[in-house]
Amino acid sequence: MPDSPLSPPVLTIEHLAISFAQPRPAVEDVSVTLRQGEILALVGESGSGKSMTARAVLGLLPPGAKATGSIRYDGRELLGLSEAGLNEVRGARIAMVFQEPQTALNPVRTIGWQLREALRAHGLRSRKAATERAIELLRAVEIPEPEQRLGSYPHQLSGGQKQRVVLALALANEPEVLLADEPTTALDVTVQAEILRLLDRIRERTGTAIVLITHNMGVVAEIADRVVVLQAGNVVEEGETRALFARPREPYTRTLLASVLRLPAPGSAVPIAAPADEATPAVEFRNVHVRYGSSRRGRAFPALNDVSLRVAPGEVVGLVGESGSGKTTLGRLAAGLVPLAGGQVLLHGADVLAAPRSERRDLRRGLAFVHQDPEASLDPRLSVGASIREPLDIHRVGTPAERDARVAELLEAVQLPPSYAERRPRELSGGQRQRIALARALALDPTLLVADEPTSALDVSVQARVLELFRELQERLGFACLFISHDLAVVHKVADRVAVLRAGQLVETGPVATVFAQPAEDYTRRLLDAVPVPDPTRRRGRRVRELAS
Amino acid sequence: MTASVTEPLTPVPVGPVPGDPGPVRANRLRHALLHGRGRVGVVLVGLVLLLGVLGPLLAPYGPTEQIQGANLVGPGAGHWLGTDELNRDILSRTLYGIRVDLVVVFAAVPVGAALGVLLGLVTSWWPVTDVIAQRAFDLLLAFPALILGILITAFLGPGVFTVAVVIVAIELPVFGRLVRTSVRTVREMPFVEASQVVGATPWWVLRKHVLPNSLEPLTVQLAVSMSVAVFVEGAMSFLGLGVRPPHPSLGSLIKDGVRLLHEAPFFAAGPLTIVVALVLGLLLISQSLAEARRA
Repeated sequence: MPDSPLSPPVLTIEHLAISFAQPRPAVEDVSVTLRQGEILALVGESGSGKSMTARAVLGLLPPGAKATGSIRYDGRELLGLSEAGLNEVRGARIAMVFQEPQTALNPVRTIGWQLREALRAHGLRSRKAATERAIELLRAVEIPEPEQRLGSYPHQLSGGQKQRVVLALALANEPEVLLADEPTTALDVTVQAEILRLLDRIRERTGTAIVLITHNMGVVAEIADRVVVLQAGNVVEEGETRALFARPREPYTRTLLASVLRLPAPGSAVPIAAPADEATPAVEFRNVHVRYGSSRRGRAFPALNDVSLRVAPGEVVGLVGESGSGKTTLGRLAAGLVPLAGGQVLLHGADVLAAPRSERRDLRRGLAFVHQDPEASLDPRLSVGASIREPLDIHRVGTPAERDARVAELLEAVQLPPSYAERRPRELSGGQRQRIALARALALDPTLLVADEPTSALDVSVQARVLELFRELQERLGFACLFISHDLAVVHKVADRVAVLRAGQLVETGPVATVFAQPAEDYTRRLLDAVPVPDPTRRRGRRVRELAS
Repeated sequence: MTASVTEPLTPVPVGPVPGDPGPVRANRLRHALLHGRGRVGVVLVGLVLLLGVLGPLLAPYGPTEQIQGANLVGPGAGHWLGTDELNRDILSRTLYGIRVDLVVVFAAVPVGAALGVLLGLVTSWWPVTDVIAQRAFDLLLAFPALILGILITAFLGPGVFTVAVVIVAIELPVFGRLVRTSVRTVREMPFVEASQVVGATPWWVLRKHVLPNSLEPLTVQLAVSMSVAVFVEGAMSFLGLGVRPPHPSLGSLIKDGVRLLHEAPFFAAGPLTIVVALVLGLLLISQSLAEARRA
């Protein structure tokens, strides 16, 4: 919906600056105008100040923060307003939705109770009226059978439904402005697509202006009318979505857009696949089953059901699927971190679990694991060098001097200077930490690397570089890899083959180019369709397709 | 920096950023000890420590030396804290008495802490040993400190050694428990998984990852336990379960002082001041450390 330039501004932020008792201000100079009924995207990498800006609007800054400048809503200055004054605005005129739907709802209360409470807080006294309004709200966020849902507890809802309830809570008093801080980041792509469409429809129905804070350029292209790009607390560029994507003026915006990974357009030509390798696979799963929970109490939950998969030496296999599909479990199974309930896991043709304990250690030596969370994947007490050295120390490889030399070599391999060996993990950025985790994984020259979402916690520009590095190292060292990711574009970039999992079962496997261009299964097609495309011109086509279906 | 290192688009912040953990922990703990409350605590404990170590040099008389004609003399130039009913100089006895407390505080508590940490560390890795050890700790914790003291004295007889054993027995389960919590949290961390995948044994993980990461909360507990130890020594000697006469300890001196409260109210003042200074100092230290950890 192209918005008319005449629609009046509802929220005006001028020269906002937020600083803590620290040298670097979180927000330096941000001016943004939000017009009635528009969706404005605030984009930027972590540390760009996009969340802080939104929080400042409702006076939700962390203690110790000092904000200057001006935030005007409806002719009122919000900055420096008293708590009582802010409470009149909060929820009633301006509402906010956060990233994590899990923590936004009270787990011991029903959905109905929480909705009624929110309505009552803003003056709806009658219980009957509140219940009716709650049902109306649930209907507005398109939850099926709202009358029944009122009695449900949050844990009985899926992630997407929870986020819908959170939206319903935010919309309870028909706010004029909705601040949405990464509302879809914690959700699966298919759910994300639904929530984005819902936001768009809510805007059309009620005329609520939405500030969408996101790091995902695909999401921006999908739904935003205007974009404001932030970098290190400053507005870098501002413009209408299509114009900005087509002709970014600033080099920062250009690099940001260039680092976004793209999927090939559907139906593009399929390159001829390389002949299958007949060598002994680096890892082979034979009809594996994994169950969580106690089977004695009959509550065992099947995480993997009869999955068979081979990874040839030197091959990168991407594992994709939504949350709960079992992709992480399969990776952890290869690493020996979850117990096997049935089937066999062969590492280079040898059954790890059948092997005696003493041999198991040697079998696992060729194995390495890279974890998702760069915050927690390195021991905060150890220096970076000691962390990388650890596998060498465990297996007593060479003399201590040789190990140190190997550390320097590994640091160079992940493109970090050898002087970094002295640093502590906390002195590094997220991307650098993941490089270190990669270096540690490569210390013993593994033949199989299990990478569990290694880049999903990183900013796009950092992610692009880490993936490039990964691909280059993989080609040079020739290790096989199980690459787990929920991000299809990432898998497309690094993997040779892809395996699609759904609810613990293998849906489809094949060369990346084939599966992505011509998916054989309906589920794969839906997964691919849901990925937001960082190209606003393709948005219209999708909507038409959706209407047709 | 080599040329191959590409800078991220958003510059990595130089100073601390909101939401970042604060500056290096060790510095913060040291800062806490050298400022405000922590400094008062360090000064108090340091003073008592100094008096105890230099006791034999500072004491005008021997601890059991009987001075002719000085029976229950009040504080004065000759005897700063007065004399007791057996013509002994209370100042000298107090200075020697401090040494007993120092042994208890700076030897028995660390021994108990070390044993507790070791036991907790090793047992909590495997479910079976964990249950056994934790139930044993429960058993020890179920006894109030003094009842435990009386029980152990029944077997070992009164003396400094018994006091030390009692304190070890009190501190062992406390530290065992504390370490277990750390083991439970640290073993789930991704970096522990990463080292297990490459073949690290439980021993390796406990030594390299779990122990270093759990030492910090222990420093706070150590200071708390030390103040408890002073209290326990005092109470046991007060009940006659600790140091045997004629040797002095702070607890037994206070006991004698209480008995002679009417005849010589000055008697217990010196030993009491020392106990208060030691306990207060240790508590202030532990408070400031705990605060620095939380901040």
